[in-house]
Amino acid sequence: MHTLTHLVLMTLAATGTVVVGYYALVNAFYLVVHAMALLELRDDTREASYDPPFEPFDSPAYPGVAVVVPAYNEAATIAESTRSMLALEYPDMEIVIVNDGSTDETLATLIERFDLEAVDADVPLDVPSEPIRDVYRSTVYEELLVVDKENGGKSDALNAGMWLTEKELFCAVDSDTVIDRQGLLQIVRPFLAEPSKAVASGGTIRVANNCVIEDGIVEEVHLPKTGLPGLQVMEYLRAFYSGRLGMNRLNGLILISGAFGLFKTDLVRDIGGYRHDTITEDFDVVMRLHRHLSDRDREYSVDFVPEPVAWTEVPESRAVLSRQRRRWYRGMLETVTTHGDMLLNPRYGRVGTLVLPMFVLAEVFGPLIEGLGYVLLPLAWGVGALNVEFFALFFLLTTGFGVFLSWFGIFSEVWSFNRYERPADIARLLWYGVVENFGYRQWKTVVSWRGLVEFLRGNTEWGAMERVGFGDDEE
Amino acid sequence: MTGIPLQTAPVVGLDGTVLVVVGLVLVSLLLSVVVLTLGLSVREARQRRRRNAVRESLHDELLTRLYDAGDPEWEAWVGTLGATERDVLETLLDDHLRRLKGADVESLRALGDALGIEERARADRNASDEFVRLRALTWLTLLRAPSDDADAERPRTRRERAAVARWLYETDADPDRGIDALLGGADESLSAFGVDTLYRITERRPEAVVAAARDRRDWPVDLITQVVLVCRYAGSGVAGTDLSWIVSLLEHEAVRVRVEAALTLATFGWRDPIADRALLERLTADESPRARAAVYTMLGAWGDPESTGVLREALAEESNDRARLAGARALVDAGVPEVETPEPARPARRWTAEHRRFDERATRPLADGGHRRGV
Repeated sequence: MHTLTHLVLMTLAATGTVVVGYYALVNAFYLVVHAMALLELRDDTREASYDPPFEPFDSPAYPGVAVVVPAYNEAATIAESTRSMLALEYPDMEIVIVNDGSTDETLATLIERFDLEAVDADVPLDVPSEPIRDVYRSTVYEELLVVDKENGGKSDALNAGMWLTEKELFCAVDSDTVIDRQGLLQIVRPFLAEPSKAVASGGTIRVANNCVIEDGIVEEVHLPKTGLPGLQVMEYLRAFYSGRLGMNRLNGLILISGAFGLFKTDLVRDIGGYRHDTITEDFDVVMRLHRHLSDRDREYSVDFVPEPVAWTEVPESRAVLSRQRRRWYRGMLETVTTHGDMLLNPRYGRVGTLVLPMFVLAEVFGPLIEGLGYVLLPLAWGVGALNVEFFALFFLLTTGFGVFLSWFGIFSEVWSFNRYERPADIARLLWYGVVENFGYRQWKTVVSWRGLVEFLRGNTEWGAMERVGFGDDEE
Repeated sequence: MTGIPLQTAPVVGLDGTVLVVVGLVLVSLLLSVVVLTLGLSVREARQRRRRNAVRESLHDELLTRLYDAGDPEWEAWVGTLGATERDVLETLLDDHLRRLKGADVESLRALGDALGIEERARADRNASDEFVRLRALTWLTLLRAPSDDADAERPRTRRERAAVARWLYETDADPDRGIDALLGGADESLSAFGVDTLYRITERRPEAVVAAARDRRDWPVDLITQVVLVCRYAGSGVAGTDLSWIVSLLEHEAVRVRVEAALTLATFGWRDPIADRALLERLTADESPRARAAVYTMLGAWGDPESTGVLREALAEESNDRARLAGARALVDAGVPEVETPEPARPARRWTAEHRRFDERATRPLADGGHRRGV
């Protein structure tokens, strides 16, 4: 009996020591990333403050951009989204809406609202997607093209749209995303600065819930009224203004949001387009670009630009948010597994040796280890192995540090682009940074574990996201 | 970020002092961030409120003084304004100088003088901070403040090269000075602003830009591509110069350069020295489908029987569907009838013809006389 107790204590002690080491490493990495993000943000805000005296619309300097928008059963929002895309300010732009076999009125809405007519000719290109039924052009908007195809998923729809454009760059945009009017002019900046090197750039995603959106333009920025979307505002700020900016500073950006990312068209075609058998096609395509270009010893850059902003509706119910987060987690596992040979591989530079390993350690293992802790904690308490001082210290170093990083992200927002103008909104965001640690965070851990189980079972479902649409759509 | 409050008493002995120290450090950090964040937010909100409160009345007063007959008396007006109002007035002035032209700009320049902007900008030209220098150059450009030789001294960065060249361009300085500021010693590509500035200079003095570009084979690929692109957009002025340097770029080692050279020559029409059949056949056999597609566009734009003949022969053998589409588009643009289109390219031709039909319909002027945006 004495031996068994000793064994349990030693096991718990060993586990605790491993976990302490784990959190020390991960938190140190996060601290470095956040510090890098602050430096990057300083440079970006300085650059954004310089407005050269010329008019982009008269200029030959801007490469053509196709905005590719996959749409599946988006009848409620598609007209508003399309109007929003058409209102974007960019000198050479094409909007390609891909109706991915919707079973609702998505196509009919587009035909009616934008005076579409079918192009009376077969597509003369070998497009790697499900069959294309028809291609429509607007008789009003020259820059609008609508592709109607059999259902094949988001990747398939992106491939169809990307294959049918002649523009040098394409911007993958979710149909529920509202882009700032000058968003394209901003996100294209890396391609203007280094035309040969830049292969992809991503912008910031912000939460649109409760913002005032008229004619596809965000007119007033407000925090969501309810807690769940509000917590997500803080998460998005932390992820973009800390995580991605920091990774950008380290030349190791591995994530570009599928809601708003710009890519070199022929390069993505060269790697075969988006993969159909993945549920996080945005993560996968960036990893494949890193692989493709590193394997060919090409000098390249994948950039994050903090201030073209795209606004997206986030889930307001726990059930939908859980589905979304489980899908993200499954997709992350899938992509990381697929590109496992890049881990700690110096051939892939900082991506292989630093960013991807730390990403796996923090984002893949983090929630799982934390979840394990929530099981072991009562167990340790039950066998009398819980040291109160240690518990308090650990709480400070993890939860306290977590609050610090969240607040750091909010500080970055206020210090730089300051879209939430009311101090009361900032105070609420700071409050969310605290309360997320008590309930929400533990719930996300459970969601991640569920995601792991679904991944192991081979679940590849996307799950539906109910949308309420932006503003009035009565025209 | 995440935490497991787990450990065992027998293994880890913790001194309470450590706990207190860590707690104090963390609480201090948290307090600092929260005070900084909220303080900054309150300060920004207050400044925004103050600025918004005066913006509209200043704007109205500015327009009244600008457009009403008589002396606007800028000096006297500025003398009555406080610091915030002056600051807001500077942003209004910046905005109007970018949008207005002609006599209005002349009057606004006097307002700039009254605000002491030019004097401040000239002093800031020597600042160590690049962005201070750039903002100074922007003001000098917007105010059309005259430049002298010392102003064209070698700019230190890519952004500054473009800004100096633009200032020289807007103040009607010798174009050679602008070109020298922009391209002299350049070892990297131009910024978007730089490309736009080079485009403006090329429109004004094409031969000077062509002369600068002709002998610069040591330029990086991106810069060569940008200069050729500018020549394409500048169009007719460049067409009258010696184009042999662009012809030679048709066989450059970089695909981007070959593509840009072909697309640029497409805009200049048929030229005897270029339309050498052996050269054209070499070009249509380029290993890059993108380069072949650009050459097809060039041949279609020339549209003479020899060029379209080479194009039709190439299309009959073309294996890449995207290059074939570009070739079919070129045939449509050259007015080659469907019956003379090689069989493999006919579906692409029909596709192109249909899209041309839509392009023409959608680009018809609107009822109010305006035009829709082009693709």
